[in-house]
Amino acid sequence: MRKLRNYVVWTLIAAVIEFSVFYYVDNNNFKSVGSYKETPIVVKKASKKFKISIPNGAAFMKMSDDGNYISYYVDGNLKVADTSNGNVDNVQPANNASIALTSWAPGSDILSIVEKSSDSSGTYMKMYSYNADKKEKTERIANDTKKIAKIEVSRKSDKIVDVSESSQTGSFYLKIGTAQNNTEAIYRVNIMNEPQIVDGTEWKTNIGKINQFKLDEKSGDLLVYEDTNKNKVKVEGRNSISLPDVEKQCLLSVDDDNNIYIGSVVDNKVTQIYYGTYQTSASKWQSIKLDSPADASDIFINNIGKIYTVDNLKGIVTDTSTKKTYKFNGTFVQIYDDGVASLDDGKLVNILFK
Amino acid sequence: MNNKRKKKKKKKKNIFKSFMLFILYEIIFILLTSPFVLFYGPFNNLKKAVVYSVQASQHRYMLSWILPKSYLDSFSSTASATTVDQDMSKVKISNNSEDISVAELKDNNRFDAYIMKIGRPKRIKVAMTKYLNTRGQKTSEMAKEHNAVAAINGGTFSDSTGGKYAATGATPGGFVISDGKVIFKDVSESDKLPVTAFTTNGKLIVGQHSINDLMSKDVSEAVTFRGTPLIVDGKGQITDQAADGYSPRTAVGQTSDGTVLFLVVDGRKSLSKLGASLYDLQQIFQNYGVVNASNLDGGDSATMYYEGKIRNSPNVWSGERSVATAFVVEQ
Repeated sequence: MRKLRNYVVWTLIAAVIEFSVFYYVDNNNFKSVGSYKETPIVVKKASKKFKISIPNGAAFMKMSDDGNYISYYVDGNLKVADTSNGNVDNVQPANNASIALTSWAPGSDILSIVEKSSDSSGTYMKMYSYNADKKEKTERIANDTKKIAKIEVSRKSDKIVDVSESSQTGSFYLKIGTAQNNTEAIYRVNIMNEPQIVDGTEWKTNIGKINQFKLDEKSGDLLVYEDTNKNKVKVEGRNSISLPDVEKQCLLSVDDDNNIYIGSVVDNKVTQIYYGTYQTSASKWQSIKLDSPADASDIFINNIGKIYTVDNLKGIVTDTSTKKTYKFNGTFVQIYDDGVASLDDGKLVNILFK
Repeated sequence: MNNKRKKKKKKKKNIFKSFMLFILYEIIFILLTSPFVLFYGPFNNLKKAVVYSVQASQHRYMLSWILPKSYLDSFSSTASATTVDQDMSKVKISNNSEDISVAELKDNNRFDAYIMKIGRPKRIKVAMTKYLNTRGQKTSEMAKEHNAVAAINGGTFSDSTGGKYAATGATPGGFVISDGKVIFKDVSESDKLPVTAFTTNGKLIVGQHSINDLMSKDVSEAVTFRGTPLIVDGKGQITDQAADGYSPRTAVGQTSDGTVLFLVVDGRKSLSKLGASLYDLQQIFQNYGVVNASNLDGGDSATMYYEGKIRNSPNVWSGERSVATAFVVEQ
């Protein structure tokens, strides 16, 4: 009898709780509201000068193409800062995960993030994107599984050694391995966030820099990469690019028109840059001779094919076509759409292109 | 002495056990009875909100697993589209200012909305993906290609059928008119569909019309999207406050002096921030004195572009969904 009375009381309590909650939600959340308060959105013509300090010890500084944001690590924590006012936001990885890669999606203020985590079933690389304007981190959901896009890697020590992102193709290539010359596989994560291994890229020790391009609008994107044994630039599933005058090739860049930029390497430095589309015969490719040989890592080619070289010693960036030079203070950080960013005495500063 | 302590311990253990049993009972009872109370109880606002919103989303099939057909049939998710004959004299294009203003509207808890007011409506054009039938384009891409200062996503589209580019807005639905020419149609020229259209003078036309109808009305830009118009000749057309559920939205309206209003609403951020209903859109527009208004594609597609950036917050990892058509405001 006592037990029955208990259950009756308990049922009443549950019913009261349930009905109260339903009543509250029904009345408050779905009633139409008449008038709204307006907050005007004022678009400030942003001053193009940076106003931001970067803390000591900040590593892996990367800027969005438009120069609006910079990401960096301090004490292993990822930060994203607004270059116009110095406001900093923390970007946290998921529980028990560490950030394996950050890369600004070309032409946008979205930071692609890949996080590595391990559980009983294996070690995974999972894809996210961080919208710097909205300060929102979202999972990249794969169309086929409807779950977060992820790649299973074979070793806990695997890293993302190189990456290629393109706004033209929507594809995201990840070179996974333990070092630049130790590739486990290259994955293509397509526009529907479905990762797939690029044929012929597993367990290779001769794949260097990677990039991507399209043959034409209808076809998919293709991987282009350096074969470091043969010193040639090759294309996934196709013949390598033959440039008869060039003994050693290195892959520099690909632009929005699918022109591939290849450097001719002499004594470990690039002396001349050749460019053209894959379908164009080598004899018709254009070339530009550098006034002074430069390291491949000091050559920057943007999405519309402008070629810049950086002289770290003299603190000068040169536009190779106009020959204009830009002097920067401090250490070089990055060339972005509007100019050159450098770190001068703890402050991020910029010189604008003319 | 020992006996007393033993009894106390046993009593404590019993009370703890009872309490856990109580909690378990409460949870099970509430979980088991909630669906019944939700779908068959007296809480109509919430009930309609859930049913309509799920029906409007990509997961409508889930409802048919749980609920009998007769029940679902009693919910007409969208009022039937009726033929309208707008009185075109109610709108006179007198606002020819180049000004565009954007403001954020904050509802107390259901959604965040953005309202854009545009003068000189003749400059509003329809843009269509240049990769027709292969893949769509982002609203911001189409806006930049048209050198537009502002844009919103447009009408119906279907994604390509699987393969490389599924879910990218490759093909519009119904018909698309741009610069006075029909640039897409999957219906005949006499089939009537719900439209959002602008005449060469910049007057907004809404409701069921065919291509032939619109051409005879001197229309230069048009897209189609399902449903009844929101407001015609100043009269609200939506009577059911929960019709079509709550979700992110894009809509267009025009006031009597020709000012065009673009309205974009964010939603699906949480269970309480689902978005706006058609009735909400109607109410907002009526507050601004809108004479004619029409609903466009919402959900993940709802996008407002202004001065180089997307101003609302679409639920898409890449910042914006690729769509088949957009309304752009050319310089």
